[in-house]
Amino acid sequence: MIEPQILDHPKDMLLRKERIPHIWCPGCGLGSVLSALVDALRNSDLDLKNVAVVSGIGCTGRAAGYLNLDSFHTTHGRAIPYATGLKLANPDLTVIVFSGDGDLAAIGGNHLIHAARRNVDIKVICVNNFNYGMTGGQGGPTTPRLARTTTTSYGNTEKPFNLVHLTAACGAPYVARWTSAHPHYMKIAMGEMLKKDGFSFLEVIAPCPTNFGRRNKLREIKLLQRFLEQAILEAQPDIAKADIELDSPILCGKFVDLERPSYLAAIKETVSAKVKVYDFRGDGRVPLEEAPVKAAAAKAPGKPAEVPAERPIIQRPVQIKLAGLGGQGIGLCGLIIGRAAAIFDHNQAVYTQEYSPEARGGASASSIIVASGQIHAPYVTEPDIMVIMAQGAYNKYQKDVRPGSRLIIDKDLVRPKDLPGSVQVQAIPATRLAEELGQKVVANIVTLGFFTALVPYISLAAMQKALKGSIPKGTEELNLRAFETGYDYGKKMQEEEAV
Amino acid sequence: MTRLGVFICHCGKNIARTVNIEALREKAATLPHVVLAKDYLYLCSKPGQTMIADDIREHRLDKVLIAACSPRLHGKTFAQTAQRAGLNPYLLDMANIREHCSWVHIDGAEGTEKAFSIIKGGLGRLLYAEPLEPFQSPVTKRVLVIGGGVAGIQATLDIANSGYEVYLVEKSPSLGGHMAQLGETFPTLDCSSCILTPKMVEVSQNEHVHLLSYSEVTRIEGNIGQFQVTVRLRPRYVDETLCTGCGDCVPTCPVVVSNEFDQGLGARKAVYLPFPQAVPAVYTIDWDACLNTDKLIICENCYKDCEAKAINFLMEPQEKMVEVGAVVLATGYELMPVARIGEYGGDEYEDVIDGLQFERMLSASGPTGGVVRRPSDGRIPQNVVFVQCAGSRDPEHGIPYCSKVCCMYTAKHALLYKHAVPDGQVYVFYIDIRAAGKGHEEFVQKVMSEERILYLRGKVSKIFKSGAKLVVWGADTLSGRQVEIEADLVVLAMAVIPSSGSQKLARTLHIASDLSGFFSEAHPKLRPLESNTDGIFLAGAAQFAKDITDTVSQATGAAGKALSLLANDFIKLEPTISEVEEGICRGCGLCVSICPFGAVKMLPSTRTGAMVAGINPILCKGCGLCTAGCLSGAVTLKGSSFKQIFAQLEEMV
Amino acid sequence: MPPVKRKLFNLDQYQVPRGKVQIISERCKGCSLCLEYCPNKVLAWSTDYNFKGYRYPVLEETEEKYCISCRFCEEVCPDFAIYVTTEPELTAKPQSTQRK
Repeated sequence: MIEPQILDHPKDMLLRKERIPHIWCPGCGLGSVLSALVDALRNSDLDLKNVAVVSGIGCTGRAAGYLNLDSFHTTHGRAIPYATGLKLANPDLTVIVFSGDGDLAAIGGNHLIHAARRNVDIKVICVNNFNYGMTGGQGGPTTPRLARTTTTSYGNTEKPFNLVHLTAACGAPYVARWTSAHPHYMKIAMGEMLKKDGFSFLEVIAPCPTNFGRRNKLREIKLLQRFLEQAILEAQPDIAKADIELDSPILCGKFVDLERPSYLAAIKETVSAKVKVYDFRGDGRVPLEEAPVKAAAAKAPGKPAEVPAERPIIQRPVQIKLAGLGGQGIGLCGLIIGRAAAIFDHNQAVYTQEYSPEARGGASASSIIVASGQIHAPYVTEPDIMVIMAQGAYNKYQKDVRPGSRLIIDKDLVRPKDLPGSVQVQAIPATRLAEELGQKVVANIVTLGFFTALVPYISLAAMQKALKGSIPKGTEELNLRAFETGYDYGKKMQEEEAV
Repeated sequence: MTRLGVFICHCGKNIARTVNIEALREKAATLPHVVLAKDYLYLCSKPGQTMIADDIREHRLDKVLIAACSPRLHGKTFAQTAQRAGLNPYLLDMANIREHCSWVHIDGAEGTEKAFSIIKGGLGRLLYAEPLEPFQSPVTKRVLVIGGGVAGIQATLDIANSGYEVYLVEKSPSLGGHMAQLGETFPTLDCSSCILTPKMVEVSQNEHVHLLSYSEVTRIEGNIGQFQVTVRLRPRYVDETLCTGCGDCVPTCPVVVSNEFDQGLGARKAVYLPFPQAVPAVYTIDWDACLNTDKLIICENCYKDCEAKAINFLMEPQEKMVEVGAVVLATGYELMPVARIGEYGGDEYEDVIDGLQFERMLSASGPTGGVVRRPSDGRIPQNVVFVQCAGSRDPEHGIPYCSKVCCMYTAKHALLYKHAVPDGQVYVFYIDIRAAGKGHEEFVQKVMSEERILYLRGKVSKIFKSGAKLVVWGADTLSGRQVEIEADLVVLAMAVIPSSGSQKLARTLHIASDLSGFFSEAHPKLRPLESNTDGIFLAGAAQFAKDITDTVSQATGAAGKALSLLANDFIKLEPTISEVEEGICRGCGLCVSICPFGAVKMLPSTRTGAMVAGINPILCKGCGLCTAGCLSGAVTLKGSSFKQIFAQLEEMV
Repeated sequence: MPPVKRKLFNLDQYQVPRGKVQIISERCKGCSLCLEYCPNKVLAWSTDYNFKGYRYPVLEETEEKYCISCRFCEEVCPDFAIYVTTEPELTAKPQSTQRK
């Protein structure tokens, strides 16, 4: 915040004096709204160091530059997400969004409805002048029907948004509408908003004499006088009657004022029952004493763990591809292999997955690259080992089978055809063995055990540890048996081949 | 077979003188269905009634005819006799052979023949009589008092202190009415505010009282025991629950206007308390005077100065629905405008004022701090002329009646002026001196004997300005001379007229008012506190001009009437009312306009949905106008059906 | 005959606030909101122009006593170009400030 300068006008203390007079046109309602906001801030109990103002693009967007506060002039339509980020990072802030109808309701419309739905604690002041003023006066989402703008020369044909109805329907707990000629009511509304915890929305109807007024035959002050003629101020206005047409009443007042847990309050309430939620401090750090997990890491930073003795050394990266049907557990297998190599063998591993769009039943593949040294590229282009558990998968990945590579298949499900020369095919009736164990679903673990027996790059101990850490609680016994079954089968096959 | 009994009364010599009772009895005994015909000297006496009751039981009489005096006299007596004997009282009828016969005949033969005809007719009617049961209507134990002057306040206190809920509705922002404006009251010269404000405070603090000030009654429906009243609460733009009455809002209000409480002699701001002792002690914003409008708020001065944050420019009128069992009307009076009397300047002259304006000057909390001044230049007047009967007793100006209080208050004014300005000269023009109350004559005599108070008997014909001076032309009939007086100040005792909203209220409540606009009583002598609508009572100057003593008495009386109604959980209503046969009714609506009690409404028929007449049994008085007026013959009057009437006629003709 | 308007006796007990309107002419853009909505119409257009070429409001000396310090001009001005300093005492004699 810039130091206060010598005052000329009583409200100058909250303005960046060097930028006054502002660029807004004579008779523009924006100045009146800004003036009301300055008063509302002065009259509130807030510590102005903790007030942030975020604006978008447009004439209204320039407001951030005129206020002597921490303010942010952001991209078109993105004031609300920016403000949301500010608030989440530092919940002590009072975050005010000051933006226009085009910025908030057109390009930023999506953010508006979700912020209201989520009840993020930001105070949104939407200055509605019924067009895109800064860019020359084009029609926007709030332009009334039959109004003339540069893009609606014959009169607007679209029904405009009823912004108060929109935000209220999304769940905003505070919704009000006034005009820029009502400083008394604007100040009261802004004061209420500043105190409210939750999403507040104030729509201020403001004249744009240069563009909207001029094109609709209501030059200079006539546009504002017209608004005042149409305005009906009520204590409990009916939101369903608040549509704005060229000749309809403009219903003003406080439409909604209820209590609803704000976004952060709801998270705290729901999640804190299950997980310890730490209160944010202003700088986002968690105090050491409260975070045991992090403390342990803090106590021993950067110290390498012990390296086991029998660690397979892989000279150059080995590319492994696993493929099967979605649901067979191909992804899990790849993950276990990768974890075994990287975590427990202290080698390097890279793991990627491929899916087709079906939730179940489509083809599924995973690729792992293991090496003792650095792996430069994560993609498997020429697999050294392929593990295929379904015919459909074989058909799809047949083209990747290289001469001289190893092909591990499920004996019953896969009939490899047209193989290039010198491919070593090793088969295991994994599904059948899994069925014998009682659960067809562990076929992938059986295959994994088989793989471990035949492939020298990953140690048995590592694979076993990785397996234990990757399966759901309660399934250890079955999975270990499946693994053993596959492993034993593989070892037996190796002995027979040796003979 | 119906068993009829006929009892003929001698009524001493009243009937027996002209009618041959014995012959009558013999003849009556021969009539069809008559199983018993008896005569007795005084049927209304205790032994007479006992005899009737015994005979009813002994002879198992189904219906009884009493040939005697007018039912208006003893109808109830004999009905109770029947009830005691176990007979439905509507199966006992009276044939009037006294007022209708013996009292208007001299010749015995004629009289006897006529009496027989009457008895025959009565029996014919009786044959078709049906038993009827009186019905009950619940009474809501709550009272509405309209008007917050001393009459309304007194009635409210009397009812609330009896433990019943009261809604007190007052049009202006504060209670007190005109009595709060007065300085001292005759004949004791008590300080008016000092005796009134304790009562006002009592009203505001009584837990049974709901005070709705700055409000008006807009609609009333229903009937005695169950009135549904709609009250419209005007917005003060100040929250009553938050306002502490501190008055911080007043200094910075930029608008200064004339204060109604000071009758145009004093000022107030747009945000104001009508007078310092106002109840409720809550400020009000006069929206018409305030710079703000429903569309635009220009000035926030009072809003900013109010620490309690009680000011809210968005307040809207509210409607409140209340159900009450009784209503007390205490809407009070006002003075006829000076403008209506052109001869006295028609309100063109600043120094010609009325009694209430003079009263405000005398009041210690008034715009002059209790000093009598000329409105034109503020000087203290040395020659004051009081004109009594300004407008009153004057059919030419539309007020034929006497306003009752002016002689007394003019004497009081004269006396108080003399106390303040001992060397001042006072002239009082009068026609008569009406000082009929307790201590009143003594008071006036004292005033009349004061030095330099001159009582002149005569009317003032003209008041006008001659150059800078005010000239009064009058007559002194006792000396027979014309009188011309140069006055510094003229005080007119303007006529007391009903307060301006009463006509509209009378229409809203469907009650009658007289030609002068005062509410009409049910009977001027015997029922002066009841309006012609059951359950709505009258109190105070709204019924007619009166002083504070009479107002307070009447208010307590009206409260008593309301309380005697509320003391019952139900009111019993006579079943002799009219009834509509829906199938015959053609829905023309003539009966709706005929009914003087507003008891008939057009309602959708429960069977066909077409609009037919429906009679509110509680409002219906059984007058029979709708029965006679119905073009389709769809209305019957219970207890007097067409069958009964035609049978009676046939027998008599 | 029209009813007479009497002078109110106790006017000196009812005083109203008085304000002095201060105009920062260089900021003004001549939008006319203050002129139009002043309840006592104390402002008038200047005869000269400011550096941007706009006319701006001025308060003539004869009009000074009519300003009641409602501050609407200060609140509604979009350009922070006008404000009111309220006299510390309630000094105005009401009769002389009543324009309505």
